[in-house]
Amino acid sequence: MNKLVKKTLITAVLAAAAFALYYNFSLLPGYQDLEKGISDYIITYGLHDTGSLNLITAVLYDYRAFDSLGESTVIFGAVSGIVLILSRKMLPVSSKGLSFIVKRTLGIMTPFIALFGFYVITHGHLSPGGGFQGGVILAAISIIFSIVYGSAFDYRRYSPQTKTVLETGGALTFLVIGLAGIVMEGAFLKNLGFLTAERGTLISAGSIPYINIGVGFKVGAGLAIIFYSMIQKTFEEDF
Amino acid sequence: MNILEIILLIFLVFSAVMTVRFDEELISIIFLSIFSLILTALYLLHKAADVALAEAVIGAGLNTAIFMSAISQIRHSDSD
Amino acid sequence: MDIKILFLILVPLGTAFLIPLIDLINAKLRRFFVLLGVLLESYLIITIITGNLDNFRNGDFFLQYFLGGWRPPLGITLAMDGLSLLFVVITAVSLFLVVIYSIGYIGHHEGKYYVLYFLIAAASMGALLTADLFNIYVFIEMLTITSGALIGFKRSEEASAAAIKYLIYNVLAGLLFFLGVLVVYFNLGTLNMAAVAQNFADLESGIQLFISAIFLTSILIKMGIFPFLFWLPKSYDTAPSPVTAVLSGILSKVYLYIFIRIFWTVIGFEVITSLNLNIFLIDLALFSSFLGHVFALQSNNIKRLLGYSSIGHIGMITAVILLNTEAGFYGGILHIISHMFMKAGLFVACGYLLQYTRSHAYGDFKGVGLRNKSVFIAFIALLLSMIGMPPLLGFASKWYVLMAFLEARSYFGAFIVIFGSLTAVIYYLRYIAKGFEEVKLTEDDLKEEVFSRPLLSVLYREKIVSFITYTYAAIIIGFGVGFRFFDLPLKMSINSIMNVERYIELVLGG
Repeated sequence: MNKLVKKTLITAVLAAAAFALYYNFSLLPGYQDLEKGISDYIITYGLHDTGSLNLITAVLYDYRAFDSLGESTVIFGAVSGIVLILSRKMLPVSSKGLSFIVKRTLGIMTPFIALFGFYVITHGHLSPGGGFQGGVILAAISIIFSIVYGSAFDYRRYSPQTKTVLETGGALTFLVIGLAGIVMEGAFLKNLGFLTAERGTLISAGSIPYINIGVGFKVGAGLAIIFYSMIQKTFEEDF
Repeated sequence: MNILEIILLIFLVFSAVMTVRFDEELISIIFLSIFSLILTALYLLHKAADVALAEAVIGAGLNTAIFMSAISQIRHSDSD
Repeated sequence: MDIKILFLILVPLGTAFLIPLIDLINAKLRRFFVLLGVLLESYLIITIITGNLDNFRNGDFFLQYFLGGWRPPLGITLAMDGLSLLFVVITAVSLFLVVIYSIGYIGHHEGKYYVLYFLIAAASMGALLTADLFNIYVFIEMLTITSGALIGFKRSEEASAAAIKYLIYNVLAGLLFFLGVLVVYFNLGTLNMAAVAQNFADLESGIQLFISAIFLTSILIKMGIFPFLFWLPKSYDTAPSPVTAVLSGILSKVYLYIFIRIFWTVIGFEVITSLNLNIFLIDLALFSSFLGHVFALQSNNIKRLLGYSSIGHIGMITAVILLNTEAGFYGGILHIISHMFMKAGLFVACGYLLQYTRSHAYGDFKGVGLRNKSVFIAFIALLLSMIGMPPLLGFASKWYVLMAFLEARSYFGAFIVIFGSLTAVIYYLRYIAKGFEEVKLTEDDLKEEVFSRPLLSVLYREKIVSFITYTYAAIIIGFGVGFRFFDLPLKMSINSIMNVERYIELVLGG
């Protein structure tokens, strides 16, 4: 009986919350009224200002690059926290991995996955994608290694130290590009003028591709570290 | 709102409800990744390719792997 | 364009990024590096203060920085006015003291601890300085994730449970805040706080209510006001003492700053008054304060008790600020300062004293005062300040809060202030008395005691830890006598809260 009361209560509260949200969102203006404020400006002048064909990347890594620095720092903090809480002695679970067929197939596929990851990272200013998405694809390679070949293989290929260096290296790249903006252009994270080239080519859009690469390594290595520390066998004796 | 979008939205709600309803964690996780895939399709329909890519990679790919590893840890400690 | 306020954020951020690399090279270098980061940060703040002394007196202090060179409303702007300067200074002082304490206290996983600590420092500086709504959300998220990890620092079952509870509540609050930012952008097409403030009054009242309610719920969860206070005591209890000092001394004050910033600068208090939210909110905050003190009365665990008393004080501060009078702001902000130092000092002292006990429970507090008398005296001074004894800082701030309530004829508020002090007398004196009880220990007890705390460091540097406790007590006593010192900074912050037009003009026109 008590359980039933609790359930109905929770359902009622959730329904009320859902109704309140629905009602309030129905008050909001529709799509057609949205074209005002800064989005208009960015759509009109974004390509001219930043040289990035992908306007979302232009916003993420030029107009509001500081937010991206913050967001990637959130991942950095999450990685540190998870490693802090879950880290035990570095003794990976050494499963034998999956069957021979799976191993062969993924052995052939892995380079292409990596290629796709790098493509998404480096073409962030030209096509959909960017550092965050490409980084996750790179992290997926590490995850596939752990699942298919066993985590000892992954450990030997990319040790946690390498991943840490990659992660902090990516973070520092972002910071250094930002500081270069102060020295060369007079404002933190301002797009570096001397790197601009013809629009639409791979090396264009100023510092945006380089920030993308930094973020890509940071996110990729960070998420791989998270996954790695989650599959470790837990031991009591530590520190 | 075209037919495809309506169908996708219905499936979206369906998979969300299924995620919550099942006691078996594994099934919940699978439904969660289906939820992410449907969401990806919806983002694509609304021409938000960047968000769709992020959702597909993180929601359907990485989240599933991390949840699976968490589940394996929980089961491991339960059996001991 | 003043680049120093940018470096207030970048110095801790860079330190956090570099620490893992330093760890790989040589773990012993880490401590020097940590000190270097903190000293650099203090140097920046001192130069900001000494460079702008004339502006303080003239009342035209304002610094800003356009990130990426994009002017508002396009890019992200950092802005520092009187209010943020005051919060930055007191936050930095607390961060400085707690980091030195941590050098003495934290004995394992130091590398990760300092990474997370400096991320908290960077995020709190960022949240205090930014003039952009989405940027605030980013920094709130950073604060939540890093502090959640630090709550689970002891890695015991209890600590993990507390961390998960904390994260569930606070991530939900962060999501609500994000929803609010989203709705604001949907309606006004901009995220700059000044630009939003300029146009907010023109919105329909339904949408105004929606936005205010979302922001309000989010910030109430973060601050731990009545309906959402249940995450707080548990996480305060299980986190290591320096982390608790950060949680109560810095994080809750940063959220109070965000509360003031959003409800006075962005939304505007006239809107809140026209929606009739303010009276409801004052009563809610006062009720929360009442509950906090009542829970503290029945609590049998010193750290949990301090957590409940934090709920009481935060509720009181929120209520007195919501009076929207000059006296209210004066008392509220003075109490923010004094509560910050008192609570952080108490948790710091607790961290030292509780190393002698088996648990945090009341019964185990027996005899603590006899082990190290001078630290216990500092602890008592801090407790007396919490109660509101005359020569201490707690008295001065509580007096102004009481006067503000009486001036606004809010007798319920005045009652809560007195009630809080009276209950505090009961629940603190209990512990002081217990601390002076004689206790006889056998050899076996001592051994058991040593092995029951495996997580405390072997390299426990007692002198640093007790020195920081004395410093906090000295601050409380010194500023208790000379609380007039805060007169100018308080006037400046009140001016920047009341004078929203000036903020809008300076951010958009600068």
